[in-house]
Amino acid sequence: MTCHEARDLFSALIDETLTREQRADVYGHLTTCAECRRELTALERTVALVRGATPVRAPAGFVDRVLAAARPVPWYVRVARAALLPWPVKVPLGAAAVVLVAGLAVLMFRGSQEQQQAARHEPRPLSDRAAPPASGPPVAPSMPAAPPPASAPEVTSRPRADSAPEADRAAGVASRVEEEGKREQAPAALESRDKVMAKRAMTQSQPASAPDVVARLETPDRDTAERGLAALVARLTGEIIARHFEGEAMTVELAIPADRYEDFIREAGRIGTLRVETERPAQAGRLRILVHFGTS
Amino acid sequence: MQEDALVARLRRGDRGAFEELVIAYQHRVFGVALRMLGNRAEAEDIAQETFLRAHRALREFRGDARLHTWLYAIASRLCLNRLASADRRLVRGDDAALAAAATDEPTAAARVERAELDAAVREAIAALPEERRIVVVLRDLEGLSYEEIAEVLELELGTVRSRLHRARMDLKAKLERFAP
Repeated sequence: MTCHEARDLFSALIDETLTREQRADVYGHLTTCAECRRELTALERTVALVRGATPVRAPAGFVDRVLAAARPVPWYVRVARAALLPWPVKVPLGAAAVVLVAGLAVLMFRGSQEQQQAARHEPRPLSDRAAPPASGPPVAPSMPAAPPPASAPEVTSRPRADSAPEADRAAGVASRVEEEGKREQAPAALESRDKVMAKRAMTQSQPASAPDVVARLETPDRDTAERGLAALVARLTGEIIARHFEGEAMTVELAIPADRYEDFIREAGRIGTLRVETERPAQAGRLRILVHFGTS
Repeated sequence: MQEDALVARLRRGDRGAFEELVIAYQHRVFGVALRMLGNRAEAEDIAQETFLRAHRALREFRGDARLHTWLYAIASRLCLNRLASADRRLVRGDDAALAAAATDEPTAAARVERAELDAAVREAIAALPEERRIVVVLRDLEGLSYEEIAEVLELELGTVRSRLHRARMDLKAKLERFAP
């Protein structure tokens, strides 16, 4: 047995957990190795030192504290504790609740594009006299509210409600129901939004929100075409919301009942060459339409 | 104390039996916690938690383990978890601070030989790696057998043996100056 092997067994030797054979081997080595004998003595002394250390005692009152902590709290004490929260806890809690509710309300109102659309759904009708027709040679408009898609459908196609898939129609209805809900929640806020919208339309001469439909009407005579369009809108029980000018370009913003959309497309197609550039999914209620005038 | 009779009363929910259990084992459980953590407040916290957990689990105590090894197992696990927690790691990085925390005798008392020796032993134990420390505490301070330590710490017997031997060799190196 080497010194290393013998020393590895010293702890077990001290604890008397060696087999008789192992013990004999270790003692055999110790008789021939003074260094290992010293090493064993030192280790025995260390173990004795550790075992002789003054025992630790738990602090006074420890048992009482454990028993108190283990005692179940009666239900009426728990209720009383909950009801009698100290003010330094209650006040911040209340304040936090108010802030949370206010924050949620703002988020719900301003959260989504759809909700914003609901807020703008029925803007105030503006006077047809909001801006006089521009004079001078008609120029093709250059301010589309939304970029036209690569393949804009021709007027002869049937893009709206009747040809829309059932799913789209259902989505439209659902969206409308949601819009109604939102409007009921905050009518005052919506009204003020409408006013802001109308004001913006007049002062900046810019359509302020995404319309349901954007179309381009090419005619040889813009003034005549515009009058024809106004008459058509009136016939369809719609209204002209605003006229926007940017340089020589003119855009008419109007609203009609959604169920008259097909009539509008058909009749407007007789005034000039009508191209529908963008179109949102079919929905009930009123449609807001932007018509850009161009010369053909 | 008749451990089996106490266990039977504990499982019946006898509150007096729980009090007896705490009285009987408070110093041992607190001792393990203090040796492991080196801080009296923290040790009391862990010792109290040990008894509370035992109290909650008494009805499920199956009785195939001995009551004291069961308590040591709960206490050891709580200590090792506490030592492994992130904020304790920061403390562990400074061995001198841990050793100093272990010395809660007043400086004046350290002049007395016995107290000085106790302090040295405590410091030496506090400086051991945690997995060796718990083995030497359970063996040389609490007097558990190798088999009981293996059960408490859920270790192989050979692992207990080798960790204990390494712990003692570390202690020997630190305490040699106290050799006569």
